[in-house]
Amino acid sequence: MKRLFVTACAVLAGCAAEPVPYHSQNEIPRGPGLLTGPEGEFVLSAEDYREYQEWRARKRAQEAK
Amino acid sequence: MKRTVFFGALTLAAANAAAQGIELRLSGQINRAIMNVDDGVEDEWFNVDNGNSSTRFRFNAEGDVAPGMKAGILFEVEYKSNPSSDVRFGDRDISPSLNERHMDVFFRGGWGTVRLGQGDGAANGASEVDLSGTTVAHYAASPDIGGAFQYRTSAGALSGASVSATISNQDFESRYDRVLYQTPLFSGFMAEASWGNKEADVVEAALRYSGKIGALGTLAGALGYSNEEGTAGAIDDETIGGSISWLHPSGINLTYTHTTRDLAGRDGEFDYFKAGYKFGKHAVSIDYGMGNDQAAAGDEATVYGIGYVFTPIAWAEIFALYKRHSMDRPGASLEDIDFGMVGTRVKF
Repeated sequence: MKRLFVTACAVLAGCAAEPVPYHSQNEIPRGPGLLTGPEGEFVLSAEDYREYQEWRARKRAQEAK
Repeated sequence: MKRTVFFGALTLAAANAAAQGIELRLSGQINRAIMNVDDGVEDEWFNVDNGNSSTRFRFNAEGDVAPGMKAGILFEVEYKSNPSSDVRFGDRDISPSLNERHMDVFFRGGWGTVRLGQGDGAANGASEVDLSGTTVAHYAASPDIGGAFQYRTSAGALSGASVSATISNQDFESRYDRVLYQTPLFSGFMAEASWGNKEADVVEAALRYSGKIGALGTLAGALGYSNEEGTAGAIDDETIGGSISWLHPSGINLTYTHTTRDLAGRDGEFDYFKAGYKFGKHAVSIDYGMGNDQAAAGDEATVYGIGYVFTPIAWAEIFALYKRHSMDRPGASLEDIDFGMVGTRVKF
């Protein structure tokens, strides 16, 4: 049994099989999301944070008037 | 108050991410179903969260920390109202709570990946490799749907033997606080090892493979080993096994799982077979599982079923399942339990 397993591993490793990442279907699926669009994730980045700071500054300025 | 703290934390995280040029990503899914259960005496409908892939959300981030090295975090929790694995006739209404899944810090480089925190042990999922496209409906862990239901005796009384106790796929040690090392991919192979602790120390190891084998399609598999140290005179909780799944380009697919777990005075065994067909937006499969000597010596539990998944759009699946659990216990005559389920998983 061990010999069969080692042989199978050697054949798979040696026969130029193309590696494919395995993603369990029981995890959150890859790909698009209902709200997140094609990317499938909401992304908070430096740009978003700058926009948030600018929006907050504008709002404060309006409230101060 | 909680909401303020939550969004405050998000803002802080975004601010720090901004400083490092790292993006913070948020994603999740909702997975709900209607389930019918008939145990020979009672027959009821349940509104459940599908335990095959529960309702959950996550944050993750990754960025460069040094030449050739990345670091990141993964934070994932589930929020299940009426989990399909926990409801039963005596408890049809289970309040949701946030349950930990991943709270991980990781470092990744040419030498592999190190993960620290709450998350998968090295062998978690090694008995659940499955390329059928129907795992949201059914897979090796059949107690994720209806695991809390008990078999009835022929006289109609509850036997004390539940589905989850008698036909577990014995998927090693699941998730816990640990440190995990994963090698880089080598011709589709990856090895993993982890050490951590629950009440006692846990050690796990696994070898995984996933690759395209030319005109024969795709092959994926895993072998796993786990050992949780026994406490107060108990034996070590040792499990060994694995799974293999093959998907032919025609859509025909086959899956097999076997695990053996050391129990006091006996070995708990699990075997699982699945055959399926994927075509276009559809996937259908039949399965058969056997659990022997798991809850008690001499127990023989079986499950067979048929599952179907329709994916009309990339972010939504509609699924249906019928399955029957049966149980033979020496000296007892137990009724079958039938399950039917229809539901949908939506990624947001």
